[in-house]
Amino acid sequence: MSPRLLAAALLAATACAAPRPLPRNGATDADRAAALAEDRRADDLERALSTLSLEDKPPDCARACELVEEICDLSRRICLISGRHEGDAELASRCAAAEQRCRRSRERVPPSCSCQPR
Amino acid sequence: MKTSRVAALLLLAAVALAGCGGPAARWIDEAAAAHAQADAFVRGGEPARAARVLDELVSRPVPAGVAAQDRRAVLQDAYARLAGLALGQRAPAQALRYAEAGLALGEARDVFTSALRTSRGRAHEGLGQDAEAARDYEAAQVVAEALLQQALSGRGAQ
Repeated sequence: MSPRLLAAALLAATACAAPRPLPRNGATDADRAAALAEDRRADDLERALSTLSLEDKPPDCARACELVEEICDLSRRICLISGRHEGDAELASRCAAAEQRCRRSRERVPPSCSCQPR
Repeated sequence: MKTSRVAALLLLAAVALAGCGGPAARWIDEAAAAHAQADAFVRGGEPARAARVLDELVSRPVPAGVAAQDRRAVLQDAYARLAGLALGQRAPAQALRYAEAGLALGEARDVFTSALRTSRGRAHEGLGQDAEAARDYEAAQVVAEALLQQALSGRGAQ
């Protein structure tokens, strides 16, 4: 389900929920527990909606492309150093991890951003 | 960091402080002016003069009214630029001093830390300290990866 659809469903759920009267003095423990549970559900829904509204923002493609280039440039630098020190296992492992970060970053950017390699 | 981003940051801080007036707002204005002056010197092929202007900015006392995060952002940005200028003039030892001074103000998952770690890595590399350079590049990469996540979730650069 897309975030928009999920948000709509959550909104509908909150809109449909009947307002529950506040427990009066004669309210039982069960009533109070039910009211508390409903409050918690409302809070959860509110939190879910705020998260969705954050996630729904479009990506900053220009910045993302710039950062991917930065990440991959750093990876090249690390691997060049590693290449100068053959047999240094620590540098070799840093190079491998750096290359992985570069690959992962490229994969994370949505194709709609169409980053141009420098 | 790109000049436009620096200008935007300084403008933002200036706007935030505009209502306050006084020494804090003046300091932010002076920082923006120092960057503009440094830009002009760099464009005119005088990086040494650009560095002098920025060095003067980081050397002057920061007014008490400046918020801690603004102080760190403005100073770290200037130190990163100073380190970059020193690297451009093939002075890695000087670049290392500037990068160290900037990082001493504190590290976070932001563009300032990423830029300073990269500059310090380049300075170490220039000094033949490859292992230290690789560590700094890796730290800069990890921060940049976190910034990428923010950019992809539409929360922009920090």
